[in-house]
Amino acid sequence: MWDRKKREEAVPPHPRKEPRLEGPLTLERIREVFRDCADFSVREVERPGGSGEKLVLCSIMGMVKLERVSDYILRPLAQDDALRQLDNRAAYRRMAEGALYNLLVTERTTVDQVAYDLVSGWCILFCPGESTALSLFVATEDKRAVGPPVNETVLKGARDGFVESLRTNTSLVRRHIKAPELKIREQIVGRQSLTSVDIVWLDGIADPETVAEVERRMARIDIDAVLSSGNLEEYLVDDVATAFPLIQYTERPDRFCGGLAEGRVGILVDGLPFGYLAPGTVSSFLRAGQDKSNNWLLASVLTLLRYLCVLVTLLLPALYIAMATFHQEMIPTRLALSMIAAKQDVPFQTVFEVLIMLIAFEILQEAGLRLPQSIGQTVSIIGGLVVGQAAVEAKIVSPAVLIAVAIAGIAGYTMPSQEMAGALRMWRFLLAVLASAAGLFGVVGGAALLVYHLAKIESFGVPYLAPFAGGAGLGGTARAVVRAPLPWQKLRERTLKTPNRRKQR
Amino acid sequence: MKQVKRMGCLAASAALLLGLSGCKETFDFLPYSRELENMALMRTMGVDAGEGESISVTVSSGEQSKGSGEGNSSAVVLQEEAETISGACLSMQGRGVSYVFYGHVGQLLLGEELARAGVDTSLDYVLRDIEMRLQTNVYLVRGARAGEAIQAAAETGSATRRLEAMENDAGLLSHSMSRSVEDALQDLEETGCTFLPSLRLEGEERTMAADGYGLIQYGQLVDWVDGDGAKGVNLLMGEVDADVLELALPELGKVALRIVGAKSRVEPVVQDGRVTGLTVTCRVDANLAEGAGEVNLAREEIRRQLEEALEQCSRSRLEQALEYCRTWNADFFQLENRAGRSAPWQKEMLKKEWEPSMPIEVRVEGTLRRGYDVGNEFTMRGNTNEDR
Repeated sequence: MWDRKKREEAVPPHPRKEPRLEGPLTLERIREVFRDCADFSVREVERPGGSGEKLVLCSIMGMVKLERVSDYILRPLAQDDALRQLDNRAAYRRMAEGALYNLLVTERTTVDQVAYDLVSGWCILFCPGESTALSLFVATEDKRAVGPPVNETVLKGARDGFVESLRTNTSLVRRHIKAPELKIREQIVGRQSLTSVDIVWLDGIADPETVAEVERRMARIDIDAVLSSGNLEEYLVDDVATAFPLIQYTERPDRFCGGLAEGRVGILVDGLPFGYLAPGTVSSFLRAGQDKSNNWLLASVLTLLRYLCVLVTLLLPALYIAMATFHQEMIPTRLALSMIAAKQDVPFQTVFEVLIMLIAFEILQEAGLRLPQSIGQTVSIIGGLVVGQAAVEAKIVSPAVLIAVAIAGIAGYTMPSQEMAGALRMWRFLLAVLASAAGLFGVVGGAALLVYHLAKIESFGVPYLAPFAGGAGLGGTARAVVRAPLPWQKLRERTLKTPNRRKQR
Repeated sequence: MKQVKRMGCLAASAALLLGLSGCKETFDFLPYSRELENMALMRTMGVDAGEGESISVTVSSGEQSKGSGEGNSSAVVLQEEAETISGACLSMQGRGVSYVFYGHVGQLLLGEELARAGVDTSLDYVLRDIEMRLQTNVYLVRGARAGEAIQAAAETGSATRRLEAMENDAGLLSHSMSRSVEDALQDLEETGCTFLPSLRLEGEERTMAADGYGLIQYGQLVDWVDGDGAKGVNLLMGEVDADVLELALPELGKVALRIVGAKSRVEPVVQDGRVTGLTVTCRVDANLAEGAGEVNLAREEIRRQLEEALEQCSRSRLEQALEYCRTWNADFFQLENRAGRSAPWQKEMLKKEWEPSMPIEVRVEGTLRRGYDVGNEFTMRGNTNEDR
């Protein structure tokens, strides 16, 4: 009772004001709204042939392309003979209907709409005697050029990658999927950032309920700003009490479109150079972008290798601890003798050795990521080779521990999704601690806990362990680990609940 | 739901805080850990009859690396006598700083005196002890004590190294093979009889050498099999990878055949709905090793002559081995089971009617595969000059 009261006091109410800006749509009101905004610009223009009253053009500098303002708005206002002959009222109507050259013209009636248009790169034209204003699209399209994705390079595949501009990204998707069934629905998220977020899906292929659920969750988000990926992910997923990623992201439009064609729902966010695909399952995070480009046998072997690497990265340190401290009879005799010889004079217990090395590995990785690429590589070399070698020679750790931790770490890097690799790293620590407490019983208990945890979570109504769970059957399960030849893959995944399962003749 | 979560968090926190209680008993349910470097891994165990009712146990660690390239330390040999094997093993724990670990014992040696008194106790110990492995190879030491063999080996190396070398070379010895505790226990459980490889100590250094087999009946050593009888056991079990058969034939002179493989099949002989005996069919493959220059294997009659000599010798060896079964009226080589496996539909009948004294017909099919002389016309069977 006491703590509930305290909590209520600590969190003030957060009502959403609708409309956001009130008052009549006047130039003075707009000036008031954009008071103390250095980039807010007001330009008065006298219309030739008019009554002498001036038109007012408002814009946010930097958001508009000045050449467009000059060419599309100011030039026709000054030079169009037809406009010159009209009175103010008729000229206003004429401008709204196309006398100005820019592509999009909208008549705005509220301060809210006008303010939003201004920050989106539109010009607002106030005409004397009019209670409404014309909103003219002259936004700048300065953006990063479409280039190859940095983190998802493939040998055989398209070289375009998503950029920060939402409209560019939707155009990239449209270029890959030209079907009119490709639907893009937009929502604005973030009270302060007013970020455009597009929900993309293929009508008739994506599950309508999943689309509706994505829309519902998106509409429920009421935050200040969508500035990073986490701002959206954590609000969209079913369960935040997990380290495992529940939505897949990709920098590659071709992979994004592949997901859409499978029946997933895509999400594109203005300002983020990647797209999300939902729902995300374990198998989707273990599939690499170039699997479909590779020979099916090679792709299958590599997929199996990745599953093996999951086990190695997750279990190897824990198994090492368990076998070296509890179940020495499991170690082959010659290996056991070699380990004993290597561990002579090492002062730490095996569990601390492993934990120290795991933590050192994480520190090295974090340091490498935060630094520029060239320095990061140097840090990795110094940390990995020099410090590792020195630690072994100084008898701080035994070579066997170093090898076990290094193999586990490197196996983690085979994950196509670094978020999945991160989650496995966290569980690796937990399993190592459990192994140090109870040996193999601890490892098995921890693994059972992990399976329980994974079985409990869902992504947009799809079991996270699908197709290994969720009634996909043996065929579905096999398809997750073996990439069959594409002509054999006649059906889309059952777990995605697509209304149209057949995908080829 | 929130309350359940809160309770769960509280329980987890309480469980973690238990560790701070300082009570060791709190975590008694967890297994006990030992650091690997604080262990002495024992590799070979010898069991002998002690004074009176007691049992003497000798264990050896094998040579161990000192680490950092400092070479090997000599084998550690510990010996204790107690009323039981467990008691002797436990009393060894107090002999040094390291924990004596028996999980890597790979060879179990039984002295002759103990084997004649009974091997059950020793095998049963391996079966029941949590550290020992059933895959441990078991040997009988003929005419000596197991402890003596282990200690003698430790003076020049270790018993482990010697026995591992013998195990690796088992394929090249036609009169010995490895038998695990699991094999022996299984045989004893099924028929009450088994055979175990035997060792003898040779020379002044008392070096261990393979020396045929010891026959175990109802848990006790009853006889030794050596010479051609031991080779017959290997033929019977199909465990011959290499053996040289020296023949002195009147027409061909001295010829050496290298036996490169043998496979045996035991089948029941059923007449009038009753099992009247067994047939042992052994297929022996050999190559012409020496005398190839003079012997033209392309000639069918010469090849047949050599194959007949091979068959005759192998038959003699097999019969000598099988004779032990008749003598002791025991199925040392699991003939009944093997016959049952080759004719499963007659297994029940075999079980009822099989007697080790039943007649056993031995059939040998000797095949000469090739000679080693490339200049000879005959190189491989089925590829002669006539064929070309």
